[in-house]
Amino acid sequence: MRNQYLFGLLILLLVGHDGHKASTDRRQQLRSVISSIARHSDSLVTNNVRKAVASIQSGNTQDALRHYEGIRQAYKAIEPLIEHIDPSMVTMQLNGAPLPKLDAKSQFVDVLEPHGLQVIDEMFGADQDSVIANGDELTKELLQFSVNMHSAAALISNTPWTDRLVLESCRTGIMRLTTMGISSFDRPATEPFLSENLAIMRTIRMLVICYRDVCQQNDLAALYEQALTLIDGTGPYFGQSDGALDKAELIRTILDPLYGSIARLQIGLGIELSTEVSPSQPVVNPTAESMFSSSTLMPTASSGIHYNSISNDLLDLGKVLFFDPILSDNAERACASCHQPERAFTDGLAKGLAFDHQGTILRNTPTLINSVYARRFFFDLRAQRISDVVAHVITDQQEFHSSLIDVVGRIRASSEYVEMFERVFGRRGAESIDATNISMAIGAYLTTLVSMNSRMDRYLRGESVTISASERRGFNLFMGKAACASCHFPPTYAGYVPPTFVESESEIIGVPARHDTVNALEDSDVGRAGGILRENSVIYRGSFKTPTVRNIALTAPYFHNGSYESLEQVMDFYVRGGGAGIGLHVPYQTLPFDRLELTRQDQDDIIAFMKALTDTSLKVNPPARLPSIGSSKTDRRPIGGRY
Amino acid sequence: MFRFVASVIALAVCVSAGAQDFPVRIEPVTIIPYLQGRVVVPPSPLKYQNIFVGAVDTVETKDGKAVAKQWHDYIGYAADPTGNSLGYAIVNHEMIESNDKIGDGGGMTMFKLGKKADGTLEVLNQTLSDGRSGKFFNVDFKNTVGETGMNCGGMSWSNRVWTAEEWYQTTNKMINADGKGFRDTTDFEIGKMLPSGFPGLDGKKIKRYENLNWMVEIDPVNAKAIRKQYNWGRQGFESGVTMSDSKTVYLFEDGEVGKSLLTKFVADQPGDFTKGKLYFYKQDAGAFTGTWVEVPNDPATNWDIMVAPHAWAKTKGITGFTRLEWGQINKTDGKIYITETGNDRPGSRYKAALAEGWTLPKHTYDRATAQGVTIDSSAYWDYYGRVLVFDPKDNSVRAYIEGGPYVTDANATMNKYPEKHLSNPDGIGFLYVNGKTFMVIEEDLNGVSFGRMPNTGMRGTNCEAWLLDMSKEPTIDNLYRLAISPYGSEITGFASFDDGNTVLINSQHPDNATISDNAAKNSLTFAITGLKQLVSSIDNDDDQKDQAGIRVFPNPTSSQIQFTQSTDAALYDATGARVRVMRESSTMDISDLASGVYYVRFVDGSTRQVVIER
Repeated sequence: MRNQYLFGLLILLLVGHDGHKASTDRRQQLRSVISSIARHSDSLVTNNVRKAVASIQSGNTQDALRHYEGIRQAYKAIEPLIEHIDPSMVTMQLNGAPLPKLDAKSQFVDVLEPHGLQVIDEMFGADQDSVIANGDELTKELLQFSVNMHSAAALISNTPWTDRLVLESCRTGIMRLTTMGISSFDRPATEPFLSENLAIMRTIRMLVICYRDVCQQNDLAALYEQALTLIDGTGPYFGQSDGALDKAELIRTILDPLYGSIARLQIGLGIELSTEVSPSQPVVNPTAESMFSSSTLMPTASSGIHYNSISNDLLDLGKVLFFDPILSDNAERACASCHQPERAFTDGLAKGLAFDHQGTILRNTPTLINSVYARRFFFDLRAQRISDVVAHVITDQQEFHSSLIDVVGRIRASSEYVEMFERVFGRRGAESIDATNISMAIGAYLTTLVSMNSRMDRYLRGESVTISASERRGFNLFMGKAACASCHFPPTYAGYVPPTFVESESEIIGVPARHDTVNALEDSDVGRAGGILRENSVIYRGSFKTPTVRNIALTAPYFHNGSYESLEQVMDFYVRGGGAGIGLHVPYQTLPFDRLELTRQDQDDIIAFMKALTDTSLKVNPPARLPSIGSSKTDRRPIGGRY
Repeated sequence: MFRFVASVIALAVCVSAGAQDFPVRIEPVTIIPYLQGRVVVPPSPLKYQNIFVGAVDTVETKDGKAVAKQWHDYIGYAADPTGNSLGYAIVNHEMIESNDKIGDGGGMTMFKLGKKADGTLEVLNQTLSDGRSGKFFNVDFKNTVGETGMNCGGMSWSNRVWTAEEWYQTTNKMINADGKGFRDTTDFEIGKMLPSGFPGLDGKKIKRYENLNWMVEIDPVNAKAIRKQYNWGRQGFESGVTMSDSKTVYLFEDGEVGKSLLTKFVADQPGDFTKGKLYFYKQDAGAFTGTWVEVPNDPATNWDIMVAPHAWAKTKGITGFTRLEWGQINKTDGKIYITETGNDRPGSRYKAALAEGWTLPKHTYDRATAQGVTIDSSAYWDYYGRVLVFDPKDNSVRAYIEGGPYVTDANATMNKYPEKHLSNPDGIGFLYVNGKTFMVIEEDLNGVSFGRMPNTGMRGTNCEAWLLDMSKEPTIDNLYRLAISPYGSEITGFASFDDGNTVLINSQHPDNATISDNAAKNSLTFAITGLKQLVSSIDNDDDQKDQAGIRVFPNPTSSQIQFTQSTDAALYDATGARVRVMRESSTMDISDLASGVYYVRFVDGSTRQVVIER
C-alpha cells in the first residue's frame, strides 16, 4: 500500500514539473503580448481622439471621420479581450447600444445614459452641418472615450491572463464579431468598413501563435496550422464592402470553423475550462464546436439548476408536471394547454385563452423552444427565474387560478407523485413536494426544449445542406441593411445579447392595438414599465421583450398582442418605421423612425431566410399517462389539459 | 446523460506530459494523512442550521395554510414571557405580490424557537389566541391595519417589534403592478378594521399607496399588526432604535440620495408611542454636531406633513443623508451605529437636494474635499458607503468606518484585489462576548463595478458579513470575515437570542441552485451557533499566517478551501478527475461539490488530501 502510494506520487511529480515550466513561460509570454496590444491601442486612441477633436474644431468633418475610423480600429484590437473580462465596461462605457438604461440597484428610477463608440457613431452619422453644430457634445464623448479606453487598457494589462482566459477570450471575440461585428449593430448610423475587423483577427493571431511550440509537442500541429489558415483566410472577406460581403459564406467557411478549432486546441492541451473554475454556471458552453448548434449555450444558467444536478428522473418528473392539468384549479389546464408542442409550443391565438373560457389573457403566448436562454421572462420581463414564471402561471387568476399551497396539496395526495419527487429530492415523504421543487422540475424540463437545427443552422455550421439564393440574400439583409440583427441577435435571433448572453433586451417598436396602419390605434399595454416596480419609467413604456425569430413560420400571429397575422404584414410594419412611422406618438421608440429602404424583393428574401429558421427536429412525446391522484374524477384528467 | 452535450467536443482524457501543469485526469492514489505533512485545522466551531425556508415551509393564515413568501430581510425578535422557550422570531419579506391568504404586498412570518439538548434550535408548535395552529404564522396585516409592501428593515425593543418599508410608493398604479401586487387600490379608511390609536384620525380615507411606508408595530406573540405609526411620518424607513428611557426612538431612512431623513421621536409617557414629539435632524454648518427640529406630528391635524414629510423638511433646511440603512445601539458606549450605503456618482443628486433647501452632512463635504472636488461635482464618487456613528450626547454624526479600500476597475483583478473589502454596508448588529464588543456588518452590494467585486472573468456577486472588534481601530484591516452568502444573494437580518452565541441570519434571493440543498435555492433564515467560541479565537487567527509552506484549511471543509498564500492549484475527485482549477488565488470555492475525499494538486506536483463534508 505504501509503495503504491509513493510510486503514484513520483509519477505525479515528474509529470507536473515539465508541464509547469512550459506553462509558466507561456503565461509570461501571453501577458507581455497582451500588455503591448493594450498599450498600443490605448496610445492610438489618444492620438486619434486628439486629431479628431482638432478636425471638428476646424470644421473639417471628413478628417474627423477618418480619425474616427482610426479610433475604431484601435478599439477593435482589444475587443476580444475586454468583451471577455468586463462586458459591463463595454456596455456602459465603450461600445454599448446607444439607448438609456436604468440603474438596477436604485429604488428610484435613475436613467443611465450610454457612452462609447455607438453614441459617437450616431453623432457622426448625422449630416455634415449637424456634426459641426453638435461639435461640443461630440468632442466631449470622444474625450470621454479616450479616458475609458485608458482604463480598459489598464484593466487588460493588469489582468493575470491564463491559458484559459486567453483562449476563451479568442472565442468570445469570434462570437462578438459573428453576431454583432458584421451585423448592423456596431454601426447604427455610419457606413461600415469591414476592414476594421482585421484588427480583431490580428490580436487573435498574435495570441494563437504563442501556442505553436506546445501544439507541436502534443501532436496538435495540424490543428494549430488550421487555426492560423482560417484566421488568415478572413483577409479577402474583410476587403469587401458591406453590401457585397456574403456573411453566410464567411461564417460557414471561416468564423464558425475557427470558433470550433480554438476549443479543440484548449481541450487538446488539457487547459481548464470555464466550467471548472467556479461553482457559478457559465452561459456559453466552453466545449461547443459551433456557434450555431444546440450545445452553443448552456441551458441551465437561468433555470437556477446546476448542470451537475440534472438527472433523467428530474427531467421525467418535469415533463409529467408540464403536461399535468393538476397544476390548475379546475384540473383542466396544463402548461401544454397554451404551449402546444405541435405548434412550436404556442397556441396559434392572438392572445392566450383565459381560465374558465373567460376571455383572453393579456398577451400572446410565446414559444418555449430555446426560452431558457433568456435571463428575464414574460413580454414585460417581470420574472428573473423560471421558478418565478411557474409561480406566476399557477397563481394568476386568468391562467391556473390556483395557489401554491393548493397545488402542493393536490400533488402530495398522489403516492405516485410522492415516489417521483422522493427519487429526485430525497426520501422525505410528502415533504419532498414543495413549491420550489415543483418549479425546479418544470424548469429542468424546459432546459430540454432547446434546438438549433434548422437548415440555416446546419448550413452555417458547415454541414452539407444548401440554402437558396433568396435565403442567402435574406440572411445578408437581416444581418446588414435591414438592421434586424441589431436586436434579434444570432444565434438565438432573440434579444439575448452576445457574446456573454447575460442580458435579455426589450424594445419599444410601437406595435398598434390592432393591425391597421391607416387609422393606427395606440396599444394601452405599458409593457416593461408595468413589469417590476423599479422599471416603471418612460424609457420602458411600451417596451416588450425581443422574441426569437426562430420557428417564426410556425408561431403566428405576431407581436405581444398577436395583432399581426402574417410575416408580410410584420415586414411592412418595420419598413414603415414602426409605430412612429404609422402616425403613433412613440417618443421613446428604439426602432429608427425613418423608413427602411427595402424593395419588395428584399422583404421576400428576408421572409425566405426567416422560414429557413424553421426547426422541427425537436421531438416531444407527451407522457404516456399521468400519476394517479386517487379520486376517479381527477384521474380522468386529460394529458396536456382539456383546453 | 443530459442531451445538450451530444455535439460538444469529447474531452481528451489523456494528454502527453509536457502539455499542462494540471492534467485532466490523474491516477488516483490513496494518501495516508500522516504522510502529507498537512496541518490539520480543527473544523470550524460554528454549527449551521436551516430554520425557515421561503417557498418550502408553509404558514398558517386566517384562511388556512399558504406557502411562505420569499425575500427574507429583517428579523425581529421578542422573548417568551413565560420563559419556556428562546422566544419569537419574525421575518420580513421584502417583496410585493398578490396572495389571497397571506395578503397582498410583502408581510412577515412569525415562529417560536426552542433549544434542544444538543444546543441546536427547533421551531416549536404553537396555537395562537386566534385559533391558528402550526409552526409558522403570517403576521396579519390585511384584517388589521392594512397591508404593507417590501418589508425590509425594522426595530425590536422590549419584546415589541416594528416593521419598515423602504421602497417608497408614490402611485396606486405602481403598487398594483398590473394586478400582480396590490389588487385593491380603492381608498383605505383608517381605523375601519382596527382603531388607529390616534384621536380624530379614524374614518379618514386616504389613497391606498398612502397607507404604505409607515413604521408598523406588530404583536409578535399573536402574529398580527397593531398600529401604523401615522405620527412618525411616511418615509422610506429602513430601521430604528429605541433607547433605554422607553421614550426616545431614532429612525433611519433609506430614501432618496441627499434627502434621506434621520428622525427622533420622544414619547410623552414611557412605552406609549402614540403621543409624543417628532424631530428631524439638522446638522450645524461645518460641524458634526446638530440640532433637532420639531415636526408638527398630530396625524389628524398635520396629516399633510405626516403623509409627505420630505416636502416639509426641505423648507426647514433639514439634513439629507445619502441612503441610511440599518442602525443599532452599542450597549457598551451608548452610541448608535448606522450604515449608509454608497451611490456611484451622487453629485447631481446632492445638487438637486441643495437647490431644494436641504443641507448635507459634514462627512459628505469632507469626502469631497479629500477627493479635490465640490460636493455637487459629477466626478464625486461614493461607491462603497460606510458606517456612521451618532452620539446622542452631543447629537453628532460622523463616519466611523469607510467602505473600501478604493479599487479602480482596472485594478480589480484577482491578483491585486485586497484580501478584505467592505462594500455597501446594510445590516448591522452587536455581539457582547467575554467582556468584548463586536460589531457585525452585513453587505448588500450595489453592483460589481468599481472594485466592489474582484474581476474574475466570471459573473456573480457574493455578499459578506464582517465582524469588528470594537476595542480595535475601525479599519478594513481589522475586519474579520464571518460569513459569505451564496452567489447572487444578499446577506441580511441579524437576531440573537442568547447573548450572541446563537444568531439568526437571512440569505436573500440566492442565484444558484442545487437539487438537494434548500439553503442554496431559496431565501432562508439560518442559525449559527458557537459564535462565542469563534469570537474568542479571532485574536489568534493572525498569528498563523507567517508559517512556511502552503497550508490548506479548513479541513474538513464545506464551502471553500483556503490557502495560506496565493497559488495555482487544481482539485481532483476520488476517481482522479479534475473538477476545479484555480490560478493565482488563495481561495477555491467548492460549495457545489459533493461530500467526499478530494486531492489538491499544486504546480510542483505535490498533493494534499481534502475532505468536503456537509
